[in-house]
Amino acid sequence: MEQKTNRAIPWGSDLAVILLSILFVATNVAAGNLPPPEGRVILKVDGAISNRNTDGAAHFDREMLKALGTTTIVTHTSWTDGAIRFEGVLARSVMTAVGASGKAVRAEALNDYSSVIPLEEFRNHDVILAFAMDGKELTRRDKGPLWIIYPWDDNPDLKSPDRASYAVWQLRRLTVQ
Amino acid sequence: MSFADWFRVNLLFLFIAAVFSVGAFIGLWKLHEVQTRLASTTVAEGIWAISQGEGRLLDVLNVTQRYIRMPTPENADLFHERLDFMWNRLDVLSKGTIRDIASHYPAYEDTVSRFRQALKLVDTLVDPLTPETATRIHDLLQPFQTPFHHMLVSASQAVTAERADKQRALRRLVNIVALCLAIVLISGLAALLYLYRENNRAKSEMQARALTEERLRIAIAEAQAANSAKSTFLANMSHELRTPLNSILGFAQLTSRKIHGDRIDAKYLEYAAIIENSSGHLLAIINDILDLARIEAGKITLDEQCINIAKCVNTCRAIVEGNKERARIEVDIADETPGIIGDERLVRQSLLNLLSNATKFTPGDGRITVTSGLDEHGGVRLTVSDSGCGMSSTDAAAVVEPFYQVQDDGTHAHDGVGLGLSLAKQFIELHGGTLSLESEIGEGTSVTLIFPPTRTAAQA
Repeated sequence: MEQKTNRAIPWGSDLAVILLSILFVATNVAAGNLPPPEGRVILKVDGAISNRNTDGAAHFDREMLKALGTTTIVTHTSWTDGAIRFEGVLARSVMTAVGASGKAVRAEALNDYSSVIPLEEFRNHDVILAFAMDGKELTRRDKGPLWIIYPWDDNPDLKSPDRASYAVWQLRRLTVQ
Repeated sequence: MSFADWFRVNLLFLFIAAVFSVGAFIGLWKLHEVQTRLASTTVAEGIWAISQGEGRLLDVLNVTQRYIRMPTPENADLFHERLDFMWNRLDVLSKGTIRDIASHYPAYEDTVSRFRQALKLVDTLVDPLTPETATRIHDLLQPFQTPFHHMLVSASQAVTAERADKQRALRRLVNIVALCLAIVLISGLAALLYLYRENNRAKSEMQARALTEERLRIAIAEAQAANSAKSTFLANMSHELRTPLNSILGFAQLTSRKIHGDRIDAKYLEYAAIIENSSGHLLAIINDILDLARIEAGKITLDEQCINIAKCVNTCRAIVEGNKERARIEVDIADETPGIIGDERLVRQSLLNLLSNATKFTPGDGRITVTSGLDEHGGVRLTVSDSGCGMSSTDAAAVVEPFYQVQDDGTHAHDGVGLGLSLAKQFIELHGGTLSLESEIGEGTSVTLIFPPTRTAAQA
């Protein structure tokens, strides 16, 4: 009897741990809670968002952004020479991750330049927040840490002055409005 | 309507359409050019980039000075950040479209390359950053303020010049577009006007036609009423004329037959004969008119029986030939010629009229022939030909109309009122047959009666 009970208890506590962990993960996913950043924060997202990992904002380090999936765009730009291979995360993936619910997003650069981009731009086009260019990570000296890039070469219609103004470099903050 | 006619009628319209199309095409094409020109902002981008370059340089100089005054780690960080921004801006200035635009400005390449050298030198001085190295950096970068500013000024001038150029070109383009628009408008209006007028014309034509038709209808009704009144009048008058005429004829006959004995002057007998003869002639005319009126009133009915043609023709010949010394009438009708089912009085009357016409217009030494046979459909054909004076084709066509008489410059005296042929024609048509007349001046006349096959009787 006792043996049985003894055996039953550890099995039961294992089950409890598993159930608890499943519950924890499930609530985590359901609430969309973002894990806290471990490395240096390169992007802050605030405004009309439902998933945050700090007080009022969602902070991302480079690894967190990479974890959302890396997308590659090969394109020419007005500010570079030749075709460039950009790697980054799809802007709409970031919007989904933070549970954005606005109409536009204000993109702010380190140098205080800012541009208000309609959210449908991210939905309709494969816009990325590029973190690497030709395999080299972007730094402050070459438009890093993040640069908003359109697949201009894939769709010539994107070569418009307003899209050029949306292509914010040295991006540090997105405010969903 | 042939294509040439269509083309001629629609030439104006085609011309308007061509002008419209050309105007619209050029207008749209130029409009597109305007749009493209308005969309090009390259020069403005260049000035923006250069002004940003100047701004970043001022930033670096400011934070350097601040660090020299307060060499704190925060100010050092700020210096490093602004230096990075400066590098970033230099990168922008030396690549892509900005370089393509900015390189038109004098001393651009030189300034940028010298500035790059200076920044590289700065990079060697920043580790570690001290107020002394900061002072050296400041001294190194400060001289670039002036060239950057000059670059900005010349860029601004270029922008102004280009804007003026652009405005001139735009104005020219807008003028062309406006001209095209005017052409399109005018040709559009012309086309509308043309269509409107065409429409009006068609409408008034239609109205005129409707009016004409209405008038025609009324005229026909009036003519029919008048004709009917005439027929009624003729019938009544003839009937009224016939009654006294019968007594004139009767008493003339009584007188010439000396019914009350021979005690009468020979002269009076001669007068009575003239009265009898003239009255008979008048009676014949009145009878003709009565027949015509009855036909027109649709009041004649056929008293059908089988008619022996040879017999009928011979009877008529006897009557006509008995009159005076006239051309001989030759009858060439085979005994086995079938008979006709018809009204004997009307057929005989027709034949009499034809024969009397023939004798009337054929001189004594001429020839009149009556032949008969079957046509290809089996209908009885009866032809009266003469070798008389004949008539023109105009007369030949009209002579079958009532009261028509051939005018022959008075060389021949003809009696009658011009009803004979017309009546004969109508009598035959009452039988479902046809009367046709062929004639040539000086060659004689040939009149052919053809009865329908249904009226062909078995051997009479």
